Amino acid sequence: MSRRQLLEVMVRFWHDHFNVAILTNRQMMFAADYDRALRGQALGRFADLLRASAQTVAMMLYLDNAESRWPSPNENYARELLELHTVGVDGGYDEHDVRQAAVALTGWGHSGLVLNPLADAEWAFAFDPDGHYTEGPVQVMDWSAPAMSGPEAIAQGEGLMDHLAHHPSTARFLSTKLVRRFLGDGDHDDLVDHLAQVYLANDTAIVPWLRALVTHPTFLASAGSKLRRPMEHLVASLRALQPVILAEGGSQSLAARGLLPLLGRLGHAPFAWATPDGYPDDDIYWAGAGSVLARWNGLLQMVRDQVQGVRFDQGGLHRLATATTTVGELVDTLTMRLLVRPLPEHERAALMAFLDADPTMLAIQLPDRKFRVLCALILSTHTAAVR
Amino acid sequence: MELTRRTFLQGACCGTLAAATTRLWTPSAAFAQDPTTVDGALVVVFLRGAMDGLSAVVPWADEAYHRLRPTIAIPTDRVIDLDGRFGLHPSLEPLKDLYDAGDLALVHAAGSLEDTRSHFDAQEVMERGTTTLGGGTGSGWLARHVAATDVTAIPLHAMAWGTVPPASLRGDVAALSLSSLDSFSLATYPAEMEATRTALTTLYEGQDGILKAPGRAALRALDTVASVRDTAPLAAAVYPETHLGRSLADIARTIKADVGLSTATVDVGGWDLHANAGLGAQGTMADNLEDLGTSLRAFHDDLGERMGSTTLVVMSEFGRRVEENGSNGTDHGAGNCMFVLGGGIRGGAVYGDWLPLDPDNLHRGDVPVLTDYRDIVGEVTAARHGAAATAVFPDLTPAFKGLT
Repeated sequence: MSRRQLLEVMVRFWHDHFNVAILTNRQMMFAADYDRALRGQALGRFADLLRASAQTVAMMLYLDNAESRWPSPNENYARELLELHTVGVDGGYDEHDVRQAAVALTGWGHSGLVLNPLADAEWAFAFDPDGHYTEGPVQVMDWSAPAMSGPEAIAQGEGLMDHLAHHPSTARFLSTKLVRRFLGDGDHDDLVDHLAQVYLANDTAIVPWLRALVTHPTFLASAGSKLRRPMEHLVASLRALQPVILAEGGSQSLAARGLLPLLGRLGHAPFAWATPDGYPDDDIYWAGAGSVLARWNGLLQMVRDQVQGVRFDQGGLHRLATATTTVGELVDTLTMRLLVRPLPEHERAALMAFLDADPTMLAIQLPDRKFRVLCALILSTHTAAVR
Repeated sequence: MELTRRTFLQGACCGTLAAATTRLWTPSAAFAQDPTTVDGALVVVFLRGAMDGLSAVVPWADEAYHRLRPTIAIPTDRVIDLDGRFGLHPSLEPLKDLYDAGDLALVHAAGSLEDTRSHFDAQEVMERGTTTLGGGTGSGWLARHVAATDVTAIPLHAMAWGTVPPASLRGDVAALSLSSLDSFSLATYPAEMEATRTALTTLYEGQDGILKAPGRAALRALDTVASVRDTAPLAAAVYPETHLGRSLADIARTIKADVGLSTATVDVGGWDLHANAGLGAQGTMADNLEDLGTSLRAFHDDLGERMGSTTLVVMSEFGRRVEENGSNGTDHGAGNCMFVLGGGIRGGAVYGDWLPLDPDNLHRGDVPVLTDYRDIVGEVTAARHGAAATAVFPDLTPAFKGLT
């Protein structure tokens, strides 16, 4: 498990922002490459990240720009570039701009189209000058470029992206999403304005933008107001439980084989959100009855050793109790270990009722089954579900 | 009895609706005191990503259709003609019998009045059932429909097959979301089942957070869903092994179990075919439509007589550009087709105004929206459950098409 948690949080944020779904076996081959592209720029400059996300086989296939050749541009990627990746749907563009953005990006694709035959696995991003529009200038909102041809015409699309990355609408759109990710659904206009300014003043650099967020008093005051999405909830629970991750041939692939389907049952597996908007980030989306039940079940399956490759570390957690620890003390110690904060009294009382024991009973007398479900219940509380 | 009287009065207030509501509601009066009795079920299938209605319900007699789609047009000799103007995609062959029997109505050039080509804005405005994106209160049209039908006290009155209820069920309704009937149980040790349930109930009743209502709904539904699993007959028809097939099989089973299901939704993705939609009658679009056609047919056959008190609507956020693009696909468009299947539907016809696909008639190259989709769902849902369309769509002046 990574020790660079902020990096991982931002990698997930950018995966949602630049969502790519793996819908075919062919796309599967480019998932790792795509993750590396986002990871490499996740704390860099947004302008570089935007270009990096575009110049991947995964994105070119997913949003069909690999199919976009003059004189029949495919609008799919260009539309989402404006609507989802940069200025946002209210960012000030119209259908003509979508069309012109698609024109500027004609010829962007992958090497499998240029150098046939090439085995799928060897494909890389490539620009095909023969597919690019060369007949006149292009204009998207307040950006324009003269007609360009030859290999250097890739600069036309790159120029458009750089312009969009620095657009004030992009600064606001990204800052709104960042605030929603870190603080929740509430109305934080002042903070969004502040972050948008920082973003533009720092040439789209992500680190100063994040620093402005986490040092802002509004952020500090927001603790406990955001519902953890299932992947966060699951990963935080794994971190807390510190289970034995069974390795197979020196890798963690066995655990991945167990955890990926579990994330799938929670509706939050990587590369599985089909549409380009990425997993929703509003609390209400994740607060369905089936979703809540799936959270409980995921935690119960973890403590019951029903997730492939993941074994509950009963010994490690049991060492929290000495020979004289009571069950009441165990609940408190376990809570601090798993949640790093105490539970409100009504939640603690529900757990004590579950144990159905005299609070002075010794923890070592607790049946193994009760102990495991107790851990799942602590991780199923409201306190555990928010951050 | 109160159920019937109130609904009758609701209908009476709305003039022309009164006849329809009394006609449809009177037979249920004898059952009205049974808390699990609802007057049939409404099932909404939402095709996410903009289904290409011109490939599903093909305007095969229109010369411009073939001219603008030289690669992906369905060849005329493969189209299943319906009325000399339109025909079904060959993959929808299982639906032809239902159309001929009058159980299936089609609507073309339907859609939302909000002129957007964004999937997400279009789905939002369609699911809220408003005229514009900024309009309304944020609640979904199906939630308002359920709220207007007096069935909200029944545990499984509104169910969504998916991770969470869709935006159309957002609002003052405790809709239950589930991925399948089979997976809807608590995964604790059997010997700890009661203790675990009691603990979760206490944990979730005792808080005011956002998970309180869904947690409570999940816990309360466990027994009812288990009873559906245990008692309802398995499918009496062969469904495809797809998300839609499995979900519709579950919905049919829940309807047959008589646990009060009034409204169900299922979302189906994979329709945003900008590229490689297919060549003629083969390819991804053909596969998607085969899933749709066989699933709907199985649902119809599975329910048998119960289909008479069930209405199923198929919709999508918008249609696709009339002219194909350079990658054997189509970009985002406007007007689209809808499917309405079930009892009380005057099927066997393609409803809605239609203009030939000449460039002058198109809206930015798209099929213009000539029928507000709310006039379709408003009419059939009013007929199914007696909820006045004006309660479901407050800013709609109904102009029903006579589907019921």
